[in-house]
Amino acid sequence: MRARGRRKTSYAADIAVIHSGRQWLTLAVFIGLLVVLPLVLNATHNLNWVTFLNFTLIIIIAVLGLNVTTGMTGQVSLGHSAFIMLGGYGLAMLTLKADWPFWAALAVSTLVTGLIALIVAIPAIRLKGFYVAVVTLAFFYIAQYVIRNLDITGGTFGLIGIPSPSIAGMSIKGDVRWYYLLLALTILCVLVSVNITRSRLGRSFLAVRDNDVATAALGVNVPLTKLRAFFVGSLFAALAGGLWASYVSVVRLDQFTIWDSIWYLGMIVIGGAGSTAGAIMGVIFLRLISQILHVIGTSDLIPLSSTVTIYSTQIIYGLVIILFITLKPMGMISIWQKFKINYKRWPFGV
Amino acid sequence: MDAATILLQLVLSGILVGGVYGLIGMGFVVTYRSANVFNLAYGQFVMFGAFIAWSFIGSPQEPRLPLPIALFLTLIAVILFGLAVEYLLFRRMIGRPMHATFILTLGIMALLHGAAMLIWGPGVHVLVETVPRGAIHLGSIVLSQEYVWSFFLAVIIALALALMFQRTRLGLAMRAAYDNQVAARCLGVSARMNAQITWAIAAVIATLGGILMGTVHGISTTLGELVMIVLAVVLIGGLDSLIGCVLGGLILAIGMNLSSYYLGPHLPGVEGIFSMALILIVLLVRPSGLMGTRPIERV
Repeated sequence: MRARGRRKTSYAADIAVIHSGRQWLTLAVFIGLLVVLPLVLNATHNLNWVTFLNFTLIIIIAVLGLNVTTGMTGQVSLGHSAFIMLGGYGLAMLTLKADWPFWAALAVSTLVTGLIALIVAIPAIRLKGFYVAVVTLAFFYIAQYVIRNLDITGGTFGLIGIPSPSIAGMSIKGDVRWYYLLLALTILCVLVSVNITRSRLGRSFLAVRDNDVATAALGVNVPLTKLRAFFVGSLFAALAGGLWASYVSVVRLDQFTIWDSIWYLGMIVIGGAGSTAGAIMGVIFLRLISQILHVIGTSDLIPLSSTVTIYSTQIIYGLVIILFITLKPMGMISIWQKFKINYKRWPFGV
Repeated sequence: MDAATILLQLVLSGILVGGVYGLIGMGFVVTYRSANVFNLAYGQFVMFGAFIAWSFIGSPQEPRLPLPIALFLTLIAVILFGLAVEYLLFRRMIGRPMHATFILTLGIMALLHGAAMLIWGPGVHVLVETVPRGAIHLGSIVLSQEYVWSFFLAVIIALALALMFQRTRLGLAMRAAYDNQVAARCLGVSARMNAQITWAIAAVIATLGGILMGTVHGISTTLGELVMIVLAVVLIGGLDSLIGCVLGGLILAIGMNLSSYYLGPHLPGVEGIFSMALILIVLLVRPSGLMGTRPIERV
């Protein structure tokens, strides 16, 4: 029997993210592995894997935001792709048209997207359930229409030549440098996300999701909580969008489709709604599927045309979402937790 | 043509198109009403049904089966499709939170879209004439004949569905299940049977709509995007009302015609987001729609 239990002597110890020295060690080793990962991949001359890692990190940041809005607060948003798009376009317009420095532009475009999300949330918060999804869906198409028809956004051609950031005089160019920047920012975002769940704010989010009437009875302002959820969620999305735009140095409308909104929702469901670790697992799982299909499709073994790859990815994504929703509604994180409990209490499983 | 004739032309053709939108919307309303599923995959149902029909009927260049036989086979195939969707997926979702079912329909949407792209490809498939085509001239107003036929078909099906819901035992059972599933089951209403019939009806209506739309515009995977129009139609009309659905279709189609003609020159493609704007307005002003009966929970 390995189970001993841990005695907590203070509230702070009880809500601590990391409980023991062994967890600190595991975390340090894990982050160390993440730091040396691109060096290993570089040694094998597989630069496209570093690109894959970078996009995965960007999407993790975005999905952490959706996890706040949908996973924690239960407001199903189909407009997440639009918030990412606004963040990207905001950064592009501020750096290209107004010659702002990168970091200022990123901060301002993120904040402005957050304010836009508040406006979108006004019709959404008055209603329950799928009405929120419909409002955000309508917002997605309206945002896309506006961007397509404005001159300042470059219309259907988009904006090109978005500058890269620089830190202390070192400009972030190339996949590996970007990897370290994105890794640092992702860890920061994970930290924020984890701490949201531990705070009063996060508890009000979870309470609104689980029972909004009871939450209101306990004195929590439900509409305000929903507004906050949309605001925080869209901040993550806009940050990811700005980084995305700068990383590929282009923003175009077809980078941000309604399908992406659906995949982000799927990632949350697959990982386990409301859990930060679950959201990350969901992103990595779906990204790996598409990368594996891409590798198979471009290999000599079973060459597939790019359209076949795209649509078989779509079919598999759909199937995975369907299977998780019907068979494992609590997501991958529930499988992991069950394993952990069984391991600790062995031979007395659940 | 003077201004009044143009207006009349726009309104009349809007009415005809709106009838077809209303018909398609009814399949959505039926599943919402008796299975309590907000089916965002419905556009893909329309597209899939149309492609199944095309596989039996064929194109004008190479027709496959005689029309009555082909339509009969299509009917059986889509009924089986609807039953399979219910049996494999939605039966497992009874008692689960609404957003889970909603995300399930998103998964179905992706699956059907990807499958149709792989099987039939992105091109436009032309369908054999299922309803007579051509123009009808009323003075200086021109209407397309296929829309007139579709409109009458839509009205007949709306009436049939309304009769079924209001005047038959089955309809009564379905309405009871919508009001209170547990109470209905206590009184001997079979929830399974209800759900199966519902999904079969929805699949048939979706296919019918797909065939009518496909006759006019050709069949392609973009038919799936019809779900945005369907959403606007059912939200305007009220999610649980068949009559409201027809009304919503008329309002939307006339509005799209007018906005495209009068605003189109200044704002290209404005009719595409007209439905979105209408959805937002309806949800802000009157969330239960024009004819919806169930009060929407506001917070």
